[in-house]
Amino acid sequence: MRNYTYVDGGVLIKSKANMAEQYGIGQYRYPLNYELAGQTITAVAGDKEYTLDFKCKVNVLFNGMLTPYECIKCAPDLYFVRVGFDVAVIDKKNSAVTLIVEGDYVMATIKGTEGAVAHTWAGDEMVGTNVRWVLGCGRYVNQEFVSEDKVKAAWAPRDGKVAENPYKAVKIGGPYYLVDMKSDILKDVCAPFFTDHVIMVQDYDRCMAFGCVFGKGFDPIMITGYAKFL
Amino acid sequence: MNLRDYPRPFYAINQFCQAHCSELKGQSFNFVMDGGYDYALNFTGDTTLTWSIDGSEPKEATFECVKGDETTYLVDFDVVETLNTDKRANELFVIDLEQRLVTRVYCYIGYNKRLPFLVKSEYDFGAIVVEGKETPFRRHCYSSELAGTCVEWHWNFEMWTHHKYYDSDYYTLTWPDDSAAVQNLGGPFEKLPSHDDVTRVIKIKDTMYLFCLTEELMERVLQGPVFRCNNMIFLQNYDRMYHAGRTFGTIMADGKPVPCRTLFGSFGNPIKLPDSVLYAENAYTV
Repeated sequence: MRNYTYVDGGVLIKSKANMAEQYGIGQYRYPLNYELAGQTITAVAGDKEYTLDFKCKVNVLFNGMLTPYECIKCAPDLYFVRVGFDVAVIDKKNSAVTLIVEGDYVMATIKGTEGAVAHTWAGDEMVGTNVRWVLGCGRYVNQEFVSEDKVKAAWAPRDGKVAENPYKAVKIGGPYYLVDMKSDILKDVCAPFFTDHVIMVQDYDRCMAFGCVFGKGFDPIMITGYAKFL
Repeated sequence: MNLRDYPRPFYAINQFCQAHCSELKGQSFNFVMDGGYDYALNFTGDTTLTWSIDGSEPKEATFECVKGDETTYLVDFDVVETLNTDKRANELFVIDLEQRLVTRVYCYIGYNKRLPFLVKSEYDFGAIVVEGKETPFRRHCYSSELAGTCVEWHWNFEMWTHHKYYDSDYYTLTWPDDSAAVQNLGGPFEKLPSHDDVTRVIKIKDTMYLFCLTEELMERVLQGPVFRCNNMIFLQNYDRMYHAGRTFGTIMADGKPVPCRTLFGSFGNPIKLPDSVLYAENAYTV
């Protein structure tokens, strides 16, 4: 479809640059990645096993349930996967998997890997970091990590409406952290009204984040963003 | 720890680059090309492939791949036998599985007697042959549809630039004073009569364009100790306002020209440029 129209005296050419409002905070989401399709990954934590059998590009058999999934590749050998309303961070480099299943954290290793070490809590490693994650045109969330379990957050465009939210952070290794921020009900901001959790793998080398926004009344929204330090 | 201070290397244009995509591993493609020379690509591993022209003996290469959307792949590799020579060559394919179309960009260095570092480019369009299916007659195509588009591209957490697309053959590059582009790019540009350079624009689909630029005008003006030419190819997604791409050419390091090839990516947003930029003359054209 041509992006120009004939008008008196010539043509009007419409700019291709746009705000992509149809995607909201999911605008910058990188293309979904299908490398896991056809693979089976079994995560072991203590005496429990969790099997992710990626049947195709859209469905995974997770502990016996066929569930839709979406995957973004965060880095070589690091994948953020939304499995229904749960999350799996698959870290092939370290043979480790962190699962968030119905809000519970499972830090596991990949079955069959000798000497692998599971991810661990990040503790206070992120305290002092003050960063904006830009998720789309004019859409962002500011995060100031003030303690090992509290983060001050504000969503565009209401930068001044700062809320102190609980968060959990898992150290993936190197520059990668899995950050799970609980959110208040939001009003007049770029995130959906009933946003409940924002879960992101944050990469402080490449300064990008990959994750998912969960809440009531809307489908989970996969996100990608870039950092601006505040 | 304030993770702003994480000990990261210096990134210019490649900080926001996608991770290499190895989804094509195990797949083979036959491309029927309008230029008359058909191509076969066989993705043999996560980063390895073989390629051949018109059924010739397959050659091996190490490839990199990023995606423009779920079904559009930018695959790039150097022609191995040209590495470490003065006449390097690079092959880039945009493989569009949605429309079963392909665009090939062949870039090469070392064939201009006066400007030996100048990157020249050849473009070819074709279709992906799939047994049992009719081969598409549509093609990716040259386009003027980007004219009138201005974008602010964010390359790393400190650097953003402004692109003005006003012509299918030229574009203008500027940046605001608060961008690290002032330090990272600024010097050579101050020696130029205007910030325009040579482009080709190829339409991949309604919301996706392959924007190809060569720093040809800069090379003609600045050839010498401060600058060498690069070709940059952006697979621009205007549905989501980001791009992925690669650069191929030569850069100056410690006063010496060294080969350059890297992937890059950035996030965009619409920008209103001042009239002084919008209506600036292209000093290189009549």
